[in-house]
Amino acid sequence: MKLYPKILTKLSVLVIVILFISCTQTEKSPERKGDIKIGAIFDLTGTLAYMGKWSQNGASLAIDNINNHGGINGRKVSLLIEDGGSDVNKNVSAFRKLIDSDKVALVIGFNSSSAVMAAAPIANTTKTVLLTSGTGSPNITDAGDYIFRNRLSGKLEVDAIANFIALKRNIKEIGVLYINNEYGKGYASIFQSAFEAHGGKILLEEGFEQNQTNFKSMVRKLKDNNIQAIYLIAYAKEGGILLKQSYEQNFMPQWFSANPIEAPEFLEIAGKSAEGIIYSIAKYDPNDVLSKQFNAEYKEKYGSDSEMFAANTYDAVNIGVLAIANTDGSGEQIKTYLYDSIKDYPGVAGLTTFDHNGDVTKPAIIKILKNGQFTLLE
Amino acid sequence: MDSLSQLIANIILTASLLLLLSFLYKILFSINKFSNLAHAAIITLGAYFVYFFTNNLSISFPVSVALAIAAATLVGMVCEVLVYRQMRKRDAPALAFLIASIGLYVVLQNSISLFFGDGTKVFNISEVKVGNHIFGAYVTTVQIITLIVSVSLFLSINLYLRYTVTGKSIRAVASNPELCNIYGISADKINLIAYGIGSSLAATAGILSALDTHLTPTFGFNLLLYGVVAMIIGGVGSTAGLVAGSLLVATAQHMAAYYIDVKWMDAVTYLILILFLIWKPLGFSGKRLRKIEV
Repeated sequence: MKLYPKILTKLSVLVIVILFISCTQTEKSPERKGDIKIGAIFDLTGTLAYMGKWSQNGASLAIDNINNHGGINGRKVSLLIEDGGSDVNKNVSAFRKLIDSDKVALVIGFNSSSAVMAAAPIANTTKTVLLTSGTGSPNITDAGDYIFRNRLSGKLEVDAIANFIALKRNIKEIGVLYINNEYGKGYASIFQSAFEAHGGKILLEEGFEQNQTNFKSMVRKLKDNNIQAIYLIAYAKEGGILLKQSYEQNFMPQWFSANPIEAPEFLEIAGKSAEGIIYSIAKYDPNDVLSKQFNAEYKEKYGSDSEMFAANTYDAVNIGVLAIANTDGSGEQIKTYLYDSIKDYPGVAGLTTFDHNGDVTKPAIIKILKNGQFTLLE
Repeated sequence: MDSLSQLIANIILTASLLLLLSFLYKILFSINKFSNLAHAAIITLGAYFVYFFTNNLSISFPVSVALAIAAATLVGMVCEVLVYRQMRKRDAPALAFLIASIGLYVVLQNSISLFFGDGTKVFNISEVKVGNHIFGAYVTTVQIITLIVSVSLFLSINLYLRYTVTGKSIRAVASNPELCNIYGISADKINLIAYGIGSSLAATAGILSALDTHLTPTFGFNLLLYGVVAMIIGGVGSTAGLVAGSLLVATAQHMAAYYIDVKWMDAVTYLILILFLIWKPLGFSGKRLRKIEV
């Protein structure tokens, strides 16, 4: 009788060991021969959900196109999408999960600059390539060797609007309102230096938090300081509420802003209070020669015209896949390939060449909200 | 002068919504003796029901509001019957109630995300327009409605709790549920009524706030948190304390936005909370809830 427990424990240990071995084997084998895995993080919930959704659409379209044409060297590509939840911590844990448990060497996407800055040290130490297609902070430029960005840096965008305000509109005094995170602070500091270089003066600079809903007393303060022009660095939601509350208090300065306000959500919240807002954004025309076919496919699948985020993420997936197909798929090799071999890659969002910081140079344009439509100003 | 009256107007408007939130939380807290976080989802649900009725079923706005409050109240009462009542029967510890309410919150909030999506929504019942110019301050019609509804609900429900038989029973159960059972007051029934009142107030607060700003699946939580802070500062034991608490929080928030920087609004709120917890843990009123355990 006493023998049984011993035999049982031995047997169970044996069973567990066998199970463990078989499990690790079945887990490993598809990795070697099966799909090529690429990680992706988009903010599909929370404040940035509208951009995350666009990015995801672009990425899914790219993956479908690749797999419908037989994948790479006969292997299918699978995109492991994680939700960043518009939250830096969630973005970072999703990034860690993709590296540690899914063993990907390339992660694309990201919608928040703060998240990229937080994930950058991890990417550099684990030699994982982070190719962001949706973040603008100028600080990402110096975030490390493994950090790439295929949309234009916020610096170019901010320079364009600062030029426009100071030189074309001849406005020399302005207030700056920024969202208190990497994107907002990054844009604000670049704007300040660019605007002051043109002889302009920042009268007042105020930060607000993501998800803030009450700007009423701040609006009054702006009004009391007699501010005529404001550069607003915000997302669609906060920007929309701010404009609405300012209009309700009969405060209507000339508003200038950045790309994230180009969203239906912004129009819905701000209504007519947003009329006449001028902003800079990466040049993207869905009817351009390069993007025409992409836009047609996009429209067929999602029912609306594509925009900058979807197009850049579409490109990011294709560039990433190209890099993996031409290398052994390790982070180090992908990185070298992106620096050395991507020259004037003709993507749907323009030509892509990574400079020594992993950044690209693409043209920025100035747009205005006119009769409820985002229209080209110059 | 104009800026002062605008600031005062802003403070009063914020305080009135805070008053409503802290009041509903106090009703639930005094009868339950635990922090019911699931109520944040009822706040959100109320607003989303209005959105659903007006946009998806094209029902007129006032009718939608009535239906939405009824529907959200029903959800609140179902939570009480299906979850909290069962837990009371099993004599679950207070911590278990708190965890259960967090669980309920997550479930409800995610169902909202599932049905309505995570994007920001607005009611769009009227165009954005310049507010009414009253005593030098700009106040929108929605904000005036918020003020009137919050204050009158606060007063009338206070009177109800003080002078009607059911109201007195609610206070009795809050004070001593076992003794009430002995005297023939069914604690379960009274709990259900209290939940009904709490949920309908929550839905109303959610709708008022959404009218002024917007809806997201998580906006209720931030609102409720402010309400809780106002309640703690005011003191759980007294109703007049709630008014003082709400006014203090609102004043601090708007002063911070005007004189320091708008990003300090939240920080200042929680700083006051910390100061109160250290030096005046029972709030303005200084009254302790009787028979509070945990």
